Amino acid sequence: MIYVEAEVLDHPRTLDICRRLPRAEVVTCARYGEVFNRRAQSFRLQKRRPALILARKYGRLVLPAPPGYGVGGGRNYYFSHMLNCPFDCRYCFLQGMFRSAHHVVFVNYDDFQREIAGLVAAPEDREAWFFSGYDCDSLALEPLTRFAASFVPFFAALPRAWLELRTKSVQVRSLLAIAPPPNVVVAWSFTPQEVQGVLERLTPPVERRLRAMARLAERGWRLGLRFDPLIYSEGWREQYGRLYEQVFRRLGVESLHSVSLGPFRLPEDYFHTLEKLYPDEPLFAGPLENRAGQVGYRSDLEAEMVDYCTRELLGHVPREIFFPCAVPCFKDPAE
Amino acid sequence: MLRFVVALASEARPIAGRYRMRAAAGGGPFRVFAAPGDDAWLIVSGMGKAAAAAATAYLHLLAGGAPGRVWLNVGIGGHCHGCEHCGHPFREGVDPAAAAVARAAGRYRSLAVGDAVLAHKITDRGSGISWYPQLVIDSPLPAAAVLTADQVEREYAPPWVYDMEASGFFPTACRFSTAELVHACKVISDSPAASVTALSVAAVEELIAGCLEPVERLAGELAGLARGLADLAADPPGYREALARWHFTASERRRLQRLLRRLAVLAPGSDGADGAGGADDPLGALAAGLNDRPPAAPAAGLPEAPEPPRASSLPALEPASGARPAARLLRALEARLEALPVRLRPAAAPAP
Repeated sequence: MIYVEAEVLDHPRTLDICRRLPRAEVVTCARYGEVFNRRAQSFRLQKRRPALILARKYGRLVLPAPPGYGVGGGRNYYFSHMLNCPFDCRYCFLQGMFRSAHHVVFVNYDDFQREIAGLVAAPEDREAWFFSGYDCDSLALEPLTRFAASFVPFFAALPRAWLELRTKSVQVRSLLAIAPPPNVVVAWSFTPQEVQGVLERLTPPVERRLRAMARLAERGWRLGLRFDPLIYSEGWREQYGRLYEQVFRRLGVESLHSVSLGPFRLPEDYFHTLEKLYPDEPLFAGPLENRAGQVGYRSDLEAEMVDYCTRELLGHVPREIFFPCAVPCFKDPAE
Repeated sequence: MLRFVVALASEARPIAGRYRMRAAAGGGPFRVFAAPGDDAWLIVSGMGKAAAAAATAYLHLLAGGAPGRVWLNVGIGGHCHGCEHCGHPFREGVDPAAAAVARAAGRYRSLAVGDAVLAHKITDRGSGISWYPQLVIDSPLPAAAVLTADQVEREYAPPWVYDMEASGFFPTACRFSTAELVHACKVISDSPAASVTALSVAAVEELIAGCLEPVERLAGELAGLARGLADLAADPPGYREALARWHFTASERRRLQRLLRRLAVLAPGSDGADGAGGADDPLGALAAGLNDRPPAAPAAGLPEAPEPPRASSLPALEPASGARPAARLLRALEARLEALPVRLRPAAAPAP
């Protein structure tokens, strides 16, 4: 099912996406919120068969990133050409933030690009970073959305700006078709294989992600590693130790732009939503506590995990490219 | 699990027959039918969206008021058979966008009398408000947009299926259930070539009877989802027994429920042999253990290896040591949970 805002029915990107899904039923709506923001929806049920919603994004399209979100840049922004993603990671905060599991794609890329260009043009000494994978996976629907195919060349012409594409997918074909700009970082999120297998439904396994990274590295792309969130389970030390061995066996440090890690944290209200959605999930039954409105692992356990993973990672990568995220990286839910 | 809302008695009869329903609760404002075991209920609302909304709310309460049931509005609807045949102009009045996209994409579905559809969009002609029933299963029926009119439709401008109840039914039923479990199914009964006024009671019965098989399949699949959601929302093992036995304040009740749920997740089906105070009889084991020692301090109070749960369950907690039994039990549960390892399990499909 594809819901299309009446206003973008004849937008070239709408027509292109609809052409790629010839068997999907098209239903028009006035605004995407009529479908996406309605009460009485079950995120869990909708994940069985998420629909696609094509819409126009209004208002501020590019927003300051939450404090702590970044890899060393002076000015950090995020923008979302899409809401939700086709993967089903049990720890994902989007399940707590949105009422619907449908995928919203904002087709007015040109408006996003105009706003980004305006921010870059501002008289500022500091370089600006733009993160695209905050409310979605940057590449998972690339064959459909052609997001990277549109935004990477756009950023290539903006030398004072950086773009981070963040993903768990292996959809790199459109990137392989273009020359890698020096100011675009393609970052992959990882949890150990044991965690991926049980908590990251529909995602490619760790090894396949590493293969995709290696292909990009061969072409000269700058890569990022994101070990965020750190997930606790019996045997976590061994799991993360094995993960780091696996990753750095496949990837040379010279191809890495940055490595970051962050503990598992959720705003309290998101956590309670997730707990209600998945009362049968061991992840939410573990040693968690609420600290100032953020639910995370018990502070001693969290510190132990961050310390261990930091030590292990610094055995593989130089400190200059390592960016631990020590504070919760969530935007204001009111935004 | 099933709640049917229909407008006419002639629409009700085939459904009531299929589910072996009998008349229930005589003397009320609506005719109601129910199947043995409370598994399926049906209400005859009468025509119009206000009647449909009132009947939906009435049936919800009459059937016990439990949330999360499957709600189906089944009835007849009007539709233009296709412009090339009836010569009807392709009017772009009510939802020109929908008409345009259907026409441009060649997706305009020509429906014949007797065809049944499931609404993917319900628009109230009076207010212009639209709702979008969420389909998360393989539908045995094709989908179409339904326009709810206040009066009998005579023009049938495509691409809509015209009815008089869906926009009253849908938002009301969504107050009592989740949108994925609420649907409207319409059987084409009239068109510019076949007036609704010429429809006999027997013809309506026949039309509804003709779509019962896919409706039943749809209802069955949705009922499976509803049961899954109900299981997830069920009280954890031991919860009701504890409330019956000891006094908990409102906040303690919430805490107890959460702790027992966590215990059921972290030590599923444990027989207590691992000292976990397993999920089958968690309180029995903990309570038995607590009576043998002073109350546990909040941080350090790990009851060691409680005895395996017993069939008799829930021994009395001695109040002599000061703390209320309920509070002691909660502390012991918390301590027990601290000691349990987190073993992640293979991801369940998103279906409940």
